[in-house]
Amino acid sequence: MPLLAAAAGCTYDPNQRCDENQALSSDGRQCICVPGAAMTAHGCTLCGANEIPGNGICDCAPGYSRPMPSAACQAAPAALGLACDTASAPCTDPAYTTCHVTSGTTGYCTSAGCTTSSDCSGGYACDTTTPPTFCKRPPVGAGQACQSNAECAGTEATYCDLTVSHQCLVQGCTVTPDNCFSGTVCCDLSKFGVAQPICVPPGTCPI
Amino acid sequence: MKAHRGNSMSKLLISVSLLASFATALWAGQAGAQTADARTPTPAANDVEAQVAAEMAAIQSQSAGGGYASDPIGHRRLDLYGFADFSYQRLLGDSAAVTPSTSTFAIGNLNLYMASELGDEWRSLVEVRFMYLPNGGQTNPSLVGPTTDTTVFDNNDFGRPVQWGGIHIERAWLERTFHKLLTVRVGHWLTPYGIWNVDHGSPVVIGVGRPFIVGEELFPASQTGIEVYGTTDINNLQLGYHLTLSNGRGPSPTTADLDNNKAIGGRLFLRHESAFGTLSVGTAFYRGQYTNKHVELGVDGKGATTTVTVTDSQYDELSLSADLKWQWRGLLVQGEVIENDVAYTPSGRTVSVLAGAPAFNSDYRRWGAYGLAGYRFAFLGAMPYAGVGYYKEGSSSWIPKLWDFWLGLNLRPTPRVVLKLQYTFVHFYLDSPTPDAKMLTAQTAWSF
Amino acid sequence: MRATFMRLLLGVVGFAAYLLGDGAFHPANAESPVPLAIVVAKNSPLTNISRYELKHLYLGEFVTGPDGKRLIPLNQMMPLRDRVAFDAAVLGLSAEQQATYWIDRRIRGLSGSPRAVDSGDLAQRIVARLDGTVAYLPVSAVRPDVKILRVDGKLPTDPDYSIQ
Repeated sequence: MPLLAAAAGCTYDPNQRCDENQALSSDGRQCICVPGAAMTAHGCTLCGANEIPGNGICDCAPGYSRPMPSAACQAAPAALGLACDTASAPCTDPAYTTCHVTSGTTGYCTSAGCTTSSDCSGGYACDTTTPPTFCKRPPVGAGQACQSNAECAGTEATYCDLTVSHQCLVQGCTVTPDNCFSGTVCCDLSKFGVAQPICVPPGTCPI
Repeated sequence: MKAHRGNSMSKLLISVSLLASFATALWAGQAGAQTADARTPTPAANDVEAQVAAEMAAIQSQSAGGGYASDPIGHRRLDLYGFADFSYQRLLGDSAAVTPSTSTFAIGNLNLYMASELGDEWRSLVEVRFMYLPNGGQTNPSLVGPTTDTTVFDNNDFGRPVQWGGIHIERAWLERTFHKLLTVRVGHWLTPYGIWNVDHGSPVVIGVGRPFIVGEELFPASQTGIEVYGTTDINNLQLGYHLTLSNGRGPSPTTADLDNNKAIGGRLFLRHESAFGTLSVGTAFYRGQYTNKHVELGVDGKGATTTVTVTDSQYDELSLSADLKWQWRGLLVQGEVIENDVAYTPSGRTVSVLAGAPAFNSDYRRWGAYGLAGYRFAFLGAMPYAGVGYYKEGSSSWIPKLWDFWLGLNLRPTPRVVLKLQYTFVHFYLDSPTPDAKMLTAQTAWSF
Repeated sequence: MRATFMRLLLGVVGFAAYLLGDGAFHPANAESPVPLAIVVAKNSPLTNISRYELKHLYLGEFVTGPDGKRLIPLNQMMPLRDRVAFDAAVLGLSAEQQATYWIDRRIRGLSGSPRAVDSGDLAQRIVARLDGTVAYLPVSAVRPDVKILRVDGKLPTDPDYSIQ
């Protein structure tokens, strides 16, 4: 019986009933993530600098963005990325005078004439595919955790990768020329049943 | 006139008392009447020798293995037997408001045993429960939502509807006794803990159902693997043990161990016989790891198809129990205390289903106990009984705590038929006020 | 009147006493008790068996002789007089109770009742020829080709022999 009692102590510790980055709820019945930790499938991940707990992952805090899904969150200047309309609401900040259109006449403010991504800030990357070059915003929603395409709807990353990353990815890119955001490459996985090419981290495309 | 009436009354009273005495003697003497040695004419010597030879052959074949000596094909007898029960349950008072079924008849168990003495101390047992489920059952553990409908249309009956049922394999094992101290059993067997789990069948158990803590399976009700057990006797004291090694618990424990982490268990018991009846005390333990995982297909960086194992749930657990049973003449007193500790692994903690902000289930300790007492009288084998139970679930359950009480009458007019009538009261300790559950259950259980 | 009342009361009390009894079997028309001898083969190493062992042997448990071999009990058919007497004296069970015992035992997944034969004489004839078997029958009917066991050191002829 003493051995069994000892075994009981090894199995269940009433003073440690939750895992790392978790705390017992006030009623003592559940484990909740500590402040600043994101709830994943089986545990809680403590978010880093400039990050806030999101849906299964750590999202960038308002005013910050990632150049690629695995990159750190970088601060974006306040005027960078502001919504604009070439017809009615032009960009007024002298540093970000270019209104890059994404739909109709609406878009976001950025800078033009970059040569490399180091000329851009806030996680933006230099898009040199078509002149004039400009600092391109990271795809909205890219890297967001998802369980289905529906959770990615309404963003610029509308494909939910259920096989490997379980994150929203940009789909509909072109392999040649590769028009994926800097830090990702366009990958055609049609032979694996993926309808449109998707932007994936470098080195992960099997084709 | 008065004297005449007095005499008549006396005669009447005498007749009544004699009738009662006669009835008593008749009842008590029923078996006695049956013991009259029915002498038959002495069979001829050759007939006797033939009988002796036949009996010896049967005994030898059963003990030595193989077929009957007189049967070159080697036919072996398969014993088929079983039990079933039929109940009427009525919910009383406010508890009737919490379920759509307040008054119902039901077939509970219909179990068939297939046993065979294979010879040379080998023995096999398979038990199958036939069920009307899944029809009418629910897949949601909270019992909320529509029930399962298994109606199909029978091609052999003009397409008329029929509802199909299912089976549950309760156990299937093979064992061999090497020594009084050593029997090895392999297969799927009932976990040897406590009293109720081993009693198992509705004609054997006193009440209409299992005590709540037994039903919650703080120990797994059955396991698949190897069990070793034995006993030894010292005067009027029997000491026994069980040791188990199994797949433990899991989503499909009878066919796959998903964590390659075998569960161990055991039981020790003492049984003492004296002028004050038979007293049995025991203790048991179970330690294992529950794992539920699945495999997903993926493509690695080199373009090869690969598999990724995803753990859905995983926890370590330890269960302990103690039990006591005392039988003295018609008196029966029994009780069990059971405890179960659960500690999730870091990659196996599951999301809590309790209301509120998203959270995980915490590690928990749950325990419970019950006590039952009854007295078996000779008349119709009547046994009034009463019991009480307490259950404290781990804090991650929607039923943190409850206690229950039951009062009943168990009749056994013949060895094979049991009639039960039981009142059950359950008090729940929940976050929101919940009516106590009160029910009246009448059950007949029979063995065949 | 008083006598009549007492007779009635005794009748009622007697009936109630039976109802409240533990169901132990008491044959109403029992003849004079007949000692039942426990017999084994002549060459069996077993000479004595405890009442405890005898009881548990006939309750289906594993009991061995001095040579370590399992003993095989032979019963007589129900409702033969010797069977009923043996069950009452050794097992403490009535006919219904022993039937209930074996039914419950099988539902628990345990072995069934010992093999039963038509008579004590048939049983002892088997015992004489089959090593390891044990039977019971009236001491007066014991044949010379079997051996009578002592039970707790007592023979059936001893005054305080308990199996009858």
